[in-house]
Formats: sequence, structure tokens, C-alpha cells
Amino acid sequence: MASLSERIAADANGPAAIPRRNGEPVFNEPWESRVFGMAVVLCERGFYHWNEFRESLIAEISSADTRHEASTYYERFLRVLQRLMVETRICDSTEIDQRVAEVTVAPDDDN
Amino acid sequence: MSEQDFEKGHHHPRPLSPSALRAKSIEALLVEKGLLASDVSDRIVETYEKDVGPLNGAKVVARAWCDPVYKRRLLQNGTAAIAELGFGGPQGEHMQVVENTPRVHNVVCCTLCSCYPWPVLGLPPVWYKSFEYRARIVRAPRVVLREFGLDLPPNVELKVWDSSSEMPYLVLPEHPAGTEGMSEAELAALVTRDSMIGAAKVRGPKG
Repeated sequence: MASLSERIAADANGPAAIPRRNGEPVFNEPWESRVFGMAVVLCERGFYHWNEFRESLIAEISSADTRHEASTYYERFLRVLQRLMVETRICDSTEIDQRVAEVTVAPDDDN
Repeated sequence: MSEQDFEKGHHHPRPLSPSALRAKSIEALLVEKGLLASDVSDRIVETYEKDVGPLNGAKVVARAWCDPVYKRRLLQNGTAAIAELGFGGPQGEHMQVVENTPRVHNVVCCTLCSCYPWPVLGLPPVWYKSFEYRARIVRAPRVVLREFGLDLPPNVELKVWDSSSEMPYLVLPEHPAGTEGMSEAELAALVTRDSMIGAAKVRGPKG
């Protein structure tokens, strides 16, 4: 069976040239779209079911709302992605934090 | 707008936010571990954002406008009728379609997070995920719709549907006037994303 993204890509090869008035952008920052893409890829690779991701996201949003936290939707989404990466043993949180520290010291400018 | 936006005219790269740095780090780790080809997530995002977008939903709506029998199936079992056109996938289980008429206007939200029928609408717009919209559309739907530019007469019944992970909603907008003789594909081109959330009406070709 074709993967989710293959299936979607195939759909889009139809008469996709129909003009659409789409209004606002879906993402505010480039990193947000990349985080979304990573979450879909890991789901397709079977690390979690999309429902698990969604449930975790609901919980994260709810607790952040309750705390009146100013964080954005994708900041919360990112936290969920990290947590699931740790839970599914893709890496541990120290590994992520270490990498963040390295990138913070020497960021390259391709973003 | 942030102070950084004043810098836009210059060529200084903006410093990355902590979240951007974290996202970048995670991406690098996944690539190193062989779990992510460097262009895969871009491709997925582009597909959802630009290609699927609301186009699939627009095709579903146009079919329903042209074929009353299909419309009946769509309202009875959204997921199955949408699958007939080849659309389905995550966040598309048990899609429920609600019909706008001259007497009833439906609008969709997700008060918990951002449940949304991806296979037909692509990814939700920024405002759909905002706390403002999630909180206010339930409490003061007419006011919110007026802010979107949709002023509903008081005699139109307004229904707000809260999408859940099990049941994302799609609005079947009213067929606009002045579309006689238009093909299904031409009709689909009139259907906007916001109209399928219920935040707008579909305007006819001269609208």
C-alpha cells in the first residue's frame, strides 16, 4: 500500500491547477513546517500511531492553556514531538539538549 | 510586530528563536540516525500545504452540488463518500459533513486542539489553532463570524460543531447563485477553504 505522502502526492497530480483562494498561511515560521513534517515522517515510519501524537498534543495544549502559557501552537507541538522521540527511544533527552547547546553556540545561517 | 521586523530591509540574518534551534537540532539528529531524508519533511509539508490544501474538499463539495445522490451519501457517511473520490488518510476517520442551507449555517472548530479533516482541507490555518478562535467561536459565534465578514441574519440558525479526534467536520457550503452551466471543475474553483470551515460563504463567479 502506498504511504500517506505518496498517496497525497498522487492525488495532487490530478487537475491541481484549479485556482484556490487560500487566505492566510498555515505556518508562521519555516521551523514550524519542518517540525510538522518530521512528526508525519516518524508516524509513517511506525514509531507511533497518529492518534498517539494527537492525544499527547491535546494534553499538552490543555495544560499550557490552563497555565495561561504564552507559547504558540507549534512550540507545544515541538514539545510533543520531542517527548515521543524519547518515549519511542529514538534518542534520549540529553542527546537532544546537547545538540541544541551545540547549535546555539555555532548556528549556521541556512534557516 | 516584533522589533526584529524592522530589520527586514537589511541583510542581517535574524537570530534563530530557541524553538527554531531546537527544531533544527532534532532534524539533524533524525537525519544522522537515518530516519529522515533531508528533503522528506519539506516534501510532505509542501504537499499538504499547497497541493492537497483545500482542493480535495472543493472537489467533494462540487460533486455534491452536481449530484444529489452523491450528496445524500456524503451527508450520511462522509468518510465513505469522500473515499469514493480517492481522498482519505490521517485525521480523516469518521468525517462528518454538515450542510449549510438558507436557514441553517454550520461552523466548525476544535476547542481542544486543532482537529481538522486533513484529507480534504489540508492543514488548518493559523487562526483555527488560536486560543482566541477556539474559545470565542463557541461563546460568541455570531460575533466571530461577523469579524470574518459574514453577517448572518438573525433568523438563520447557527450551529457550532466541535471537531474531535474521532470526528472532524466538513461544512458543505450553499451552492451560490449564478453558476448555471458551470462544470464541476469550474464550481470546485469557487469553493474556498474558509467556506468549508463555515467561516465564509461561497461566492458566485461574479461575487
